[in-house]
Amino acid sequence: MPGSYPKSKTSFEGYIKEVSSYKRLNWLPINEQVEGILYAAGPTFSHFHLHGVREGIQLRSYIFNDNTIGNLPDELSFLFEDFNKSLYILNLKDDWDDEGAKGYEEITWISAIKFLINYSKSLYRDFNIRIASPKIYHGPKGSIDIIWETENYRLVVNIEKEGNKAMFYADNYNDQIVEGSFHIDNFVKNLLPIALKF
Amino acid sequence: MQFDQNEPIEFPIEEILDKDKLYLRLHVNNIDNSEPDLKKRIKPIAFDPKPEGSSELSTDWSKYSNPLKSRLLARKPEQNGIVSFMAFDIRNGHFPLQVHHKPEITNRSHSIVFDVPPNRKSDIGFRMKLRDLSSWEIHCNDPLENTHDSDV
Repeated sequence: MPGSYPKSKTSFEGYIKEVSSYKRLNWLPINEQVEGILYAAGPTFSHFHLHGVREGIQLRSYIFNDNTIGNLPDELSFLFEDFNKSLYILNLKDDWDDEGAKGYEEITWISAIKFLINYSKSLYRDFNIRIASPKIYHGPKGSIDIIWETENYRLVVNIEKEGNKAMFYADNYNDQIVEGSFHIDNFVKNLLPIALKF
Repeated sequence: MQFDQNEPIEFPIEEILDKDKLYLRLHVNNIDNSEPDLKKRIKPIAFDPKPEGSSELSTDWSKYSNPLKSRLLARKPEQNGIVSFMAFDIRNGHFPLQVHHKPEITNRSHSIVFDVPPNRKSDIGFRMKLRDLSSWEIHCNDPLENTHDSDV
């Protein structure tokens, strides 16, 4: 059954059954309901030909203490290993440095993981970008440091305690520097440096 | 003039020269031993001033200390490593910081690196740049050696 999209520039909902032919095509943005059968498409094309049975994008859930923090497509599930490595942060109790440093709150760590899940998923879905594997460490004042370091540049995102706001810093190990701040729940990803997975 | 032997001695404040080194203690919990690169092994929090909210990073001056003595000042020396900085590099780095001698009654070598954030919007760059300037002197898992804490 051929699928069709309205040619109007304002409406863009459509229905396609065969996903695998399209998921690598950057000109097909997929909306939040990717795990269902509804896809949003831009106004630059008018119709698809449908064939076969839809194969959904496989999503894997990341679960902590019996709660699902988020889910990622298979291609990004390598990040789960990084999340697991960072669980040590929750075991840092008060005076973990023998100089009176405070421990870390679960809510901050969960916020950091949620940020990574949402950020990586949206980059992959919208731009077919796979972020590199980050290091997730405890940071100052109850915060969480998320660090990407490649041969040519590094990017650090610091999730503040309680996880509402974040700061970021990136440089080329030299004098090219960019830094700023954003709200975890409301930010424009285009304004953040991207740690690409090569 | 009579001196009270029980009266603590206040050491004079001296000038730290550019060619001098400063030693910083790193707690083992701030080291990622799974990281093969020795410098990247240091988690950036290691360069966060203490106590929380302070803008001064405590170090020990090489004129009155050495890596071993600096390590022994920790509550649990075996859980600490030591890195060093050149005073020149700190004063002339991308985020120029000040380095001053601030002796304590129990530690003549005590010095501070300051003008550290929270005056700046973000302290991330400062922590990364200090890590760039650091050099390992004693690793956290190096065994303690017998040493005499001699007066200087």
